[in-house]
Amino acid sequence: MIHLENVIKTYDMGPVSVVALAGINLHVKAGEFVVVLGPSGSGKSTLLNMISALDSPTEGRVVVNERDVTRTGRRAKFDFRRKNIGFIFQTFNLFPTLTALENVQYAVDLQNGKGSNGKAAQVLESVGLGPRMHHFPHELSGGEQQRVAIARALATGNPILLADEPTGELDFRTGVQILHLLEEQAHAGKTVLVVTHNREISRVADRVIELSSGEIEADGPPRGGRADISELHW
Amino acid sequence: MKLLFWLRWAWRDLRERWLQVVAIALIIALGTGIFAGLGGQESWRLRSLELTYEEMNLHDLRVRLTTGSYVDRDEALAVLNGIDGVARVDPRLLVDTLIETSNGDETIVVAGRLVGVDCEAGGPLVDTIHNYGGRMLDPGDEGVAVLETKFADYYDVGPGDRVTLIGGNELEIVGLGLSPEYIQIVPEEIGIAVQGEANLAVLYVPLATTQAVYDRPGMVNDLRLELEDGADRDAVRAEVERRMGEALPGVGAQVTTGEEDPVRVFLESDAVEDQEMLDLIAIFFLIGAALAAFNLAGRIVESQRRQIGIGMALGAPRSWLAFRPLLVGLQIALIGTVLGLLLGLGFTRLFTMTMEAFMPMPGDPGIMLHPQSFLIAAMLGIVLPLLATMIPVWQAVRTEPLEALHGHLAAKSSGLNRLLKGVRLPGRTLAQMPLKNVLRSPKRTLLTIGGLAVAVALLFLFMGLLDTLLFTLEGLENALLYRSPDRMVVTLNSFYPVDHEQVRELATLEGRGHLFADTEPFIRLRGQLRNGEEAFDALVEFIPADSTIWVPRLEEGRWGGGTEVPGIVIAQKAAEDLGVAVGDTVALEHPYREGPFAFRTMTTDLRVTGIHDNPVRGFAYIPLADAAFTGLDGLTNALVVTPGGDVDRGTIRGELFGRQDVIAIDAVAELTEGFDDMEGMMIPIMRIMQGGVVFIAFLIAFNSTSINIDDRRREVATMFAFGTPPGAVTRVQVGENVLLGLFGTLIGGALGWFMLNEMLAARMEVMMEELGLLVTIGPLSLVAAVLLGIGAVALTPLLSARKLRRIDIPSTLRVME
Repeated sequence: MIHLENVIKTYDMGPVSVVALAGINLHVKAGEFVVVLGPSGSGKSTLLNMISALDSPTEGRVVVNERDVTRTGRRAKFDFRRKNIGFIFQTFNLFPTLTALENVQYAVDLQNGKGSNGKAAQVLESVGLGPRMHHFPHELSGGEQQRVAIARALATGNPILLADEPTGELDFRTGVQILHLLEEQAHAGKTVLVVTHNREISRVADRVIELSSGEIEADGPPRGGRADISELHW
Repeated sequence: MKLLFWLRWAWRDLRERWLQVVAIALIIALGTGIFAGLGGQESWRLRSLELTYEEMNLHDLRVRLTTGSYVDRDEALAVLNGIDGVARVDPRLLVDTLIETSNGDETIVVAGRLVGVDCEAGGPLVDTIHNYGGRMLDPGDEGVAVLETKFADYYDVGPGDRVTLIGGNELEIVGLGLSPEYIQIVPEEIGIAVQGEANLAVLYVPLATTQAVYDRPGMVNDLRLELEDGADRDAVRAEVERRMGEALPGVGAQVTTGEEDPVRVFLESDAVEDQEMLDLIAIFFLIGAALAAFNLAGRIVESQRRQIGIGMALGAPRSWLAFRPLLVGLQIALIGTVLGLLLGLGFTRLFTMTMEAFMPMPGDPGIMLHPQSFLIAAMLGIVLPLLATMIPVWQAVRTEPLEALHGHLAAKSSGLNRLLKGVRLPGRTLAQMPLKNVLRSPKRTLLTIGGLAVAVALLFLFMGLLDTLLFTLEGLENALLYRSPDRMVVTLNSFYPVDHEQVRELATLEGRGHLFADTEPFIRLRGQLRNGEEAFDALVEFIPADSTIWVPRLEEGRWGGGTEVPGIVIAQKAAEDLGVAVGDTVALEHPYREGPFAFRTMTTDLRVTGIHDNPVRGFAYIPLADAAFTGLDGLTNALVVTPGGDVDRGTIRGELFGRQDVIAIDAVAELTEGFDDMEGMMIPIMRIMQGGVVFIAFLIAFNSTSINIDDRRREVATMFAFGTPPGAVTRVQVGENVLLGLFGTLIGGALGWFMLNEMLAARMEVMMEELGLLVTIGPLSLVAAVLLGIGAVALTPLLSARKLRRIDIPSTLRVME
């Protein structure tokens, strides 16, 4: 599903070149629940940007869902994201003038979906926000907003969900609910990639990729084995 | 902290948003520049007039004989020189005539006025002639003339050229000059100021030559008086009236002061009224600029609220927190104001040059700045943007630190979108976004719409002004030319019996075949219509009631007959100004013929029998059969003619030129052609103003869009992250701007229509009181204003499309606190 081949990404900061990714090789299968773990500056967000075609590697090759996005044009990248990726952000990034339902409809509309109202409502029901679907984002709590964001990502129907610190703004209980939702998506067949610096979260993943200074330090099941969400503490 | 530190920081803030800053500064500059630059035109023009009249020694009193009356020069001088307080009397013989001249390329036959002046003692010494080229008249001169300079410029005629007068007399032009009464041609007959330089050739000629050419030996009909210093002008005036009445009974004479000179009155009131109009326009510009500055400067400050929050978190005092954004506002205000004042200097220079070219006057005060206007403009230019920044700064420094820090990240209030809850809007979410974005922040939206509305209102105003003028002039054209549009008026040199041999001979003249298809004698008189205190000059025509050539077209009432007192048909505007309707009575002050060359003024009550469709209030018509009350029954002083088969105007003029009994040949259509020239002059000015207004609307919209993009970067980045193409995002912005433009245009249109009717048209009615304005905005102008109002605003997001594409999506999405 996701295939990275010797991906290098450097940024020119004046006279200095900063290496964000230093030759990453990675393969993620469809339906995997992967957590990318690492401290600030380790390159995890850059990795996410490469996979979502928000950025291009300096060297190497990125193939996602059998599409090589390494050197594609801008228009093709937009098209690729529209058809393959669902995003979940740390700060939710909901459209403030749209209600919860409309925020989700937006994603359905992007896919040229018919009967978007029904589908959007259904997805919101599935994340437990049925009774709150006609509220505007500022009328919802942080956890509810993040659930709307997940519903929006799910409503695209795209096979890959990319979550960038999805629990970073949330309290423990709400964070657990969000993780639970993401886990369900993985079990339902979607490829879920979560970026976080919180090691506790990585315990619920099928696979944990640890990054440090742009290199993969470890790649495998969570240390100490996969935990149930109810066992988490942070 | 040191001021330099703050200045440096604020300067960086400006640089970061330099495009928006430049746009705001330009808006402020346009507002203040127009206010400052146009504020001093009245002072400049009045000063210029004052200097001109000083140099030309404008008369203290003028004695003007009733049309057709003449007195012996020596007799008149004897009467007037004997009055205490009179220092000098300068006689004139004014004769209206036809002249023919040539500039090498074309032969010019136009109405002319010979101003016979006494140059024997180096005169004229009152109402002198300013030299614009060649030489002035010298004692002993004969057969020479000084030509009025604007006519000379228009036709490229000058010293060395010759002018032929009726009767074949020739005059050599020796110089170009201008006297006070012809600084502006004010056709006395109808009182409308038209650009007269092409239509009237004024020739200053030695008095003896004029008397000889027109067979009025020793006669004059106009006298200019200079009084001794300290003389009681009113007393002298009363004495002049008394003595003229005693010494010259039966000769009507009007005594007026220099201040009452019609050209002076026209020019002075024109300067004052133009200033009122310009002030009004400048204030509208300034209001538009103020709203735009208020909106945009405020929004720049709002975008700094998070940084204010950081300052709060660091424990900075409120004064520090407020200082930086206020400094930004101050810098924008200063840049805008300095630019505006420079622009004001430019406008002042441009205005001075235009005035000098349009109306050359000997008194040149040079470039005069109007400190008061500049001071007010500078104050407004600085205070308004500062006020605009103060309000959001005040709000920002009063929020809680956490709110200031995180408020911009949390999904903000949905504004008025809550009203749409439950309303099913058509289209997909992307298509609904423009409306939702418009509703998200009502205050901002209203300010943006307010700025646009003022700009659109100005656009409507200028277009409406132009259309109103054009529509009114079209009304004038239609009224005059609805029938026999090629008719001409042949003005005779005196009154003749209708069946006089000369009149009959004239009517049957042969050119190539019959010169005229049809002719009718009529009478044309200058008079004054009155009702109580209300009075104005009128051109009264006595026309055969059953004329086959032309009779006035009526909007109301009937034409001629059926009343005990003589009936008159007047204009709608005249009826409104006099406060009369059909069936009421008005008074007409008119000349009454006592005998050949002797008229007196009398007043007759007339019944208004109808209202004609000409918007000019000075046109009035009476059936020829009712002319007895003027002592002119059975007489005529003009013929209305229609050209014969293949005969054109030039042929008629050529055939009639040289006849002693004809002093003017006017094609009625030429009057409207004169207005075409005026339109030609006004349209470019209006178009420039419209261009300026569209530019302001465009700047407002550009700023609004540009700031919207900054404010909504995260939303845009989110859209991009989900694969929404940049074109679709731009379309959302275009849609939002279409709505803003639409609301702005609707409100602006209504405001513009209100201003046009209640303010400018009302002002113009005072300024051009002779015209009954038909206030209108033509459909083409309406469409153009709407398209410009909406189109210019709608297209601005395209300019920001590049900025949109350059958004760094990952870093915009991942703003960390």
